Amino acid sequence: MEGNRKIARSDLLIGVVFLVFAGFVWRLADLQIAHHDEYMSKANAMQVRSRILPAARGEIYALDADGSPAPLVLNEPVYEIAADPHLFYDGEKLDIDKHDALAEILRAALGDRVRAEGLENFDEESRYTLLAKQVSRTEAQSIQAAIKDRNIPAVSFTPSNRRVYIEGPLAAQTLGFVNMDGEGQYGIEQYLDDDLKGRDGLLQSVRDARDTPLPIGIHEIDIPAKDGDNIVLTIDRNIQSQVEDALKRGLDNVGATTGSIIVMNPQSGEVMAMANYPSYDPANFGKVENAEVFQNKIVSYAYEPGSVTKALTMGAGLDSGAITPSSTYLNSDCIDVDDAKICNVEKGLNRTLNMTDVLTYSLNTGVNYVLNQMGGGENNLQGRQVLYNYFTDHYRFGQPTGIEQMGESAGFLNPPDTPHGARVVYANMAFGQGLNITMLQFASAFCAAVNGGNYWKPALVAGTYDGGEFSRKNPYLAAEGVLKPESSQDLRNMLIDARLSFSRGVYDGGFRVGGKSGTAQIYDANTMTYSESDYVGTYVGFGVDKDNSPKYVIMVRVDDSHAGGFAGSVAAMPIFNEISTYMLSYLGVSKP
Amino acid sequence: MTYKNTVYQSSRISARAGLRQNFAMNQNTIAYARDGKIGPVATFVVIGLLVVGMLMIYLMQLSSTGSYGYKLNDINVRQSELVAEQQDLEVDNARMQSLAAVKNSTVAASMTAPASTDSVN
Repeated sequence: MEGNRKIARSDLLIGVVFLVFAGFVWRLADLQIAHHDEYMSKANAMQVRSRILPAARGEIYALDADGSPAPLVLNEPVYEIAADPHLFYDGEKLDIDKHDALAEILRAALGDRVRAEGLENFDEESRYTLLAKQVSRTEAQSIQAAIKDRNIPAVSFTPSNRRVYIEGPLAAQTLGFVNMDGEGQYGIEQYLDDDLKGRDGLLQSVRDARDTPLPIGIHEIDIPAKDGDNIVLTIDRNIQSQVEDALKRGLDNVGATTGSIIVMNPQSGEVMAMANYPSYDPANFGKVENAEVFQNKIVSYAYEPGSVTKALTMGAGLDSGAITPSSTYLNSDCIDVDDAKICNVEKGLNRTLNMTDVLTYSLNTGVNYVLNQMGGGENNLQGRQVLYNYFTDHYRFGQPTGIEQMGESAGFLNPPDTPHGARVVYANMAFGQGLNITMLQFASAFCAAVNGGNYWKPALVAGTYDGGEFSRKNPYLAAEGVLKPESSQDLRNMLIDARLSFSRGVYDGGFRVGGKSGTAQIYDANTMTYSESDYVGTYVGFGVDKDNSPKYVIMVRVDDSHAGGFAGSVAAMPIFNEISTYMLSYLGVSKP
Repeated sequence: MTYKNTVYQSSRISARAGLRQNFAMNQNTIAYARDGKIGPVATFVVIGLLVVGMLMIYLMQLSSTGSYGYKLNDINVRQSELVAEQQDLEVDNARMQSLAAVKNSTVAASMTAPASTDSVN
């Protein structure tokens, strides 16, 4: 019996096939298991790419006459045009025809806005050259079509957004601007930067050779961008425009170069207009030479307001019971307070006068009488403490209001027991010198003093605007009882009577308008004395409807009037008169 | 000479011969059974083809997902273009209703200031 067996050819074939397939399996195992991580990371590096999905910055609206939002700041799409110079080369030779064609197309569409250095930097090694920035959508479309016609390769259009200021420089300091890094600077843009900028999204996915994202693989991340909030301001664009025009005209009339105006709704604390001069164009903020112009001086500049403060001192006197509207005193041109002389500007009124006369003639001696009465008959710690309490706890001087603006100043006032001549300091404080207050602080306090005693937190944001729907937020009542309602009523009447007496009824055509002027000497920190030639003129006032409620408060400041006379009445009051007349008509205020 | 012990499974009718066969006793009837098994090479090839077939199906699925990606991308690009166009139109619309546009309009130009004004309560 033979034990040998011939090996069949089929067995040989099986063996060979098996070996070949074993080789395949081994290689596959080596690639896919042993070197799995290495090849996966290489593949991901090539294929998986992330792209930030930029969030659109929130828009900013003002209010129109009917209370609906009117756009102030929008976004418009713009493009950056760049080229890949490497792809313009055929071997080592630049395709001059294509390069020149590209240059011709760009210059025809954009003129001088084409970056000459971008067209010159066409080295073979370079993969990127910037050709133009801030190209509008219609320009980009026409350039794209022309490029496609001429078959020009490798030109990219990167989209972004640019801020557009629909009303030009209107309310520039209140708005602020957005810098090249997309960050808000000054004003609302900076204060509400987090709300306005939204949150960028992220798209991470496998991409093909043309950078098209494909929804395959496990690395896909798709987080949509969350656009910024659209903010509606309390600013009325019509009032703002009128106020800016009136300010410019008023300053020109007296040869002044700087000034500010604020208009507020005393029933809600909402700011209806806020203007500073000089101003700037936020669309061209890069051209501004003096950065001081970016600041909103109404909130950031604390100054000595002067005689307008007499209205608030009088309110404190009425409310504390120290005086009544019919209280009288024997006036003189000057009084002595320690080693200082407190004198009136208006001389010769050496007779018995009442409290309304104090406001009419703006008597420094008169408000010192009120201060003395707070102390039981003399300028003492008790009286100073009463006035200090009204200025700080009631009127909220010495602390920021919290308005939605950057750089708000808290101001400063001396405590009643200040070691540096407290009696003289407070004798001056009673008529608005020796304390620093911003226009916003003063106007907000004045609103509370004349509206029945309600301190509404001053506000610039009325709400948000989303998908055509305006969500209004409620005004915030920070405090009641700033003055008792009857004290506020008395103060209103006194201010109306004072203005009527001063103007002899010329200004207001039968409407009930009250106000107080102030002319303050400017303190020179270098010489540590008050200037005898430079004054700040201020006027603050209000208009009352036939239901006896004030509908607007306007405060005007002129920093450097060169007209003769008192800056408060000569420079600031005419501007107030113009705006007040406009407001009476605009708000439909009725005569009594 | 060797003999193999082979068990034949027979069928009663030989399809090839067309003859009826008699499986009675003492009849020397032989029928060749067909083996139902396939060879190892063929098995290997069939399995390989099945695996390749499944891979092809997987690749087809992947490709069709990828093709959705292109459609999605086209739609996203179109959406971005429309959003940009909408932004432009909003800006144009806002500019036309701006205070400056209203002031410089023909309607405003044809308005005159009243000679005198008064108010009615």
